[in-house]
Amino acid sequence: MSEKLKRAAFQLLDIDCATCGSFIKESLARQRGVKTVNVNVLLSIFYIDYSPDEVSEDELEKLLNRSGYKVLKLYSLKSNP
Amino acid sequence: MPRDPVCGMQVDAEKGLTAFVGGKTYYFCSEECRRTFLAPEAELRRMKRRITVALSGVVILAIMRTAAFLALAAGATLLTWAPVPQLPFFTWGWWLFIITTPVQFIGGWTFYVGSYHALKRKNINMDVLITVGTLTAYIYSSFILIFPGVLPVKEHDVYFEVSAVIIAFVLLGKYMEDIIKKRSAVAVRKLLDLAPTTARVIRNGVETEIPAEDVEVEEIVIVRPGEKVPTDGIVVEGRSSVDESMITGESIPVEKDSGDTVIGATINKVGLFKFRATQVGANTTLRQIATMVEEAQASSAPIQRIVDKVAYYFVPGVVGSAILAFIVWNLLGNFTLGLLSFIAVLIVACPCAIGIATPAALMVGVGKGAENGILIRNGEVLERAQKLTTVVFDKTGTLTKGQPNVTDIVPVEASPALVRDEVLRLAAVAEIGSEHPLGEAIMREAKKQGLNVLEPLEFKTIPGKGVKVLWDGKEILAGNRRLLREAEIPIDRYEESILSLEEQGKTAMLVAVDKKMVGIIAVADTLKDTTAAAIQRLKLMNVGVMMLTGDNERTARSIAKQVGIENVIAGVLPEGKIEVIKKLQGEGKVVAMVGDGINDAPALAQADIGIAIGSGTDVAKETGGIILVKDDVRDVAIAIDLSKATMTKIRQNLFLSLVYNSALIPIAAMGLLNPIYAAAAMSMSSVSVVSNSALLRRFKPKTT
Repeated sequence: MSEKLKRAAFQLLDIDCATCGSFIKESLARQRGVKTVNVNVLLSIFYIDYSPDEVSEDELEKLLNRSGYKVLKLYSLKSNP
Repeated sequence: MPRDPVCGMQVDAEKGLTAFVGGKTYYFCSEECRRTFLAPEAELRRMKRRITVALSGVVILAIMRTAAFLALAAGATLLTWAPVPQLPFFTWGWWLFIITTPVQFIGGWTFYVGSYHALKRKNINMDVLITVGTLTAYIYSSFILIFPGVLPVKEHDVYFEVSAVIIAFVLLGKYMEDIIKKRSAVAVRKLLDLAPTTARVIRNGVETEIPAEDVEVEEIVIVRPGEKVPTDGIVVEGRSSVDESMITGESIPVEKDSGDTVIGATINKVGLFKFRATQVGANTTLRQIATMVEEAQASSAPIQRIVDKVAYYFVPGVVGSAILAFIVWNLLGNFTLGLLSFIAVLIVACPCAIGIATPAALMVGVGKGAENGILIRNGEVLERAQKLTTVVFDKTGTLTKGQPNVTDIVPVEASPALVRDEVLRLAAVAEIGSEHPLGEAIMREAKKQGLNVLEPLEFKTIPGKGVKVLWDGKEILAGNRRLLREAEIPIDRYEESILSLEEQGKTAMLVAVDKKMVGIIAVADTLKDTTAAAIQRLKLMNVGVMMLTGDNERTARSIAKQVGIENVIAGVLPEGKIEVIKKLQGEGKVVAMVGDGINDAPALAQADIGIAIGSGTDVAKETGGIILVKDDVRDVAIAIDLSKATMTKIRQNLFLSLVYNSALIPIAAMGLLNPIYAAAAMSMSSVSVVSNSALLRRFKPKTT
């Protein structure tokens, strides 16, 4: 993992179906600047590694907001270990 | 000072906002942070509200049904007496409509959101099935009500309660699932809750208390008894014992002295000590472990790919059979049964239970591992671990303590002028720059004897053989037979003394000066206390055990014999370890390699599973698929046990969700399953998958 990548974690609330998360993962993965998306489908937590030069955390949050579910920002890390 | 768990700010306990969650009080800097933190709790509350709407609707419906039944039983007199005819608009059907509507739209709201997302991607998921199933019942019933007489059915044949009960059941199942899930997912949050809040550092010569995350690398930190170690570092002053159970799972406190590493979030028990910070922020062990656990929990096991494929065909198959059931029953002239079968089939098949079968067990299994100081990198590793046939151990530092000591110093008679101390001194000069454990042992011994050891002019390490230095105009060689033979130094004369040392399990280091052998230094490494038990346990599990070492055959065999290992491959150069593993894999064996994650990295990477042991603090740098935080070989068996237990759970879950649900589809299609029971069955399938996974929390490591 390059030092430049940042990681942010978001949780979507009120998801009733575990598989729904994977649809949202797809649209996240298509976003420019997003390198990898890991989803804990059980808790609908999205771990996003992205390049801050290409996309901002706010943009990611906005993208998730468009899903219609409530978005909760869990944390963001400056660099990845 | 307490810390805001959301933004990480220091909060004044007196003035700050608080929230009491899960038996613990949290402090917040602002209402915003408090709200963010409470969102999951709020989610549960919203869920409860939806369930209340749905359940109260269902209860009212049930009371009405009972009342109507009793009324019928009481006879027509009661009916004619009742004021129902006076309110022509509020007939039976309308009452049902009024009660069901909020259930359908408030209770079932997120099903629509989920369906929208799925359909937008031309996909069908559980939400779609529930939406279609319940809306069919709801719209059909409303149609009969609003346009009476259009369809050849009476108003009494409406199915509002089918829809309401399905929604209530699914929500109730979902709620139970959430509660169990929350309980299973504590691992990471529990870890991060451990993070210390403040640190005492020396700044400008004054002891100052600062927030833990503001500690800088190289800064000197003071830890008092009873305090948490604020970050990772190396002790520079003082001594104490530290409780590391939260990180390593080891319950006995560990003694710390100057030069020892301490881990952030561990608790200082008795003494005061100072340490130099080496890792801060996202690089601390605690943060690395949390990140790794999160990643592993979000990863998918290879078995999931098969599941995904099944799920891919499963849902369209379900919709197909539902439509087929509807058509067949209609052809047979039973429209009502066709409709009910259609709904029942849609509802009973729950792709959701299939979808969570793997991740639910994985989440609990990985979390349980972390609790015991066993970090599993991802689902793939976990799945492979159960198939292991052979475990290969590196000897030094893995089976042994890796801290060898000098046991014998033998000057050889060819150089009578050299006494014991001189041999040791020459060897120490040669090994001064060496990082090899044997070299370090010699350096320690030289220091202990108070010898004056000078830096050599030139230093060269010859991997797997020894060292060669230039000092005081002399060329000193220190290493094994191979090193001296290559330098064409005759050693055959000393073979007997070398052999006898080796047979005692000691490693003989030969020292030569200017092409002449001057002495032998024997170094022995002691076994870890737990090694024999660990090997025993693996053998009981029918896993083949093998020892791999750069040491010579005799030393290796002698050590192996003490712990009960029969298969020994000795005299292997670092790069040769990969070849040994490749060869085993060629024989069709599934091989795990246990070693330290830095020196043995290539071999660990080649093995089907690399198990990195006990190098402690820099978890992220490890190559291993499994990382044992604690320096205990017994954890190898525990890791395999845990993998097996988790995979068993995954298989049980898949069985529960798949077989049990598909068995009910034909029954539902035949019209033998009331949609209401179908809803109960489907929500129970998800609940049973999640609670079955939660049972994995009871996993107890077996050490004997």
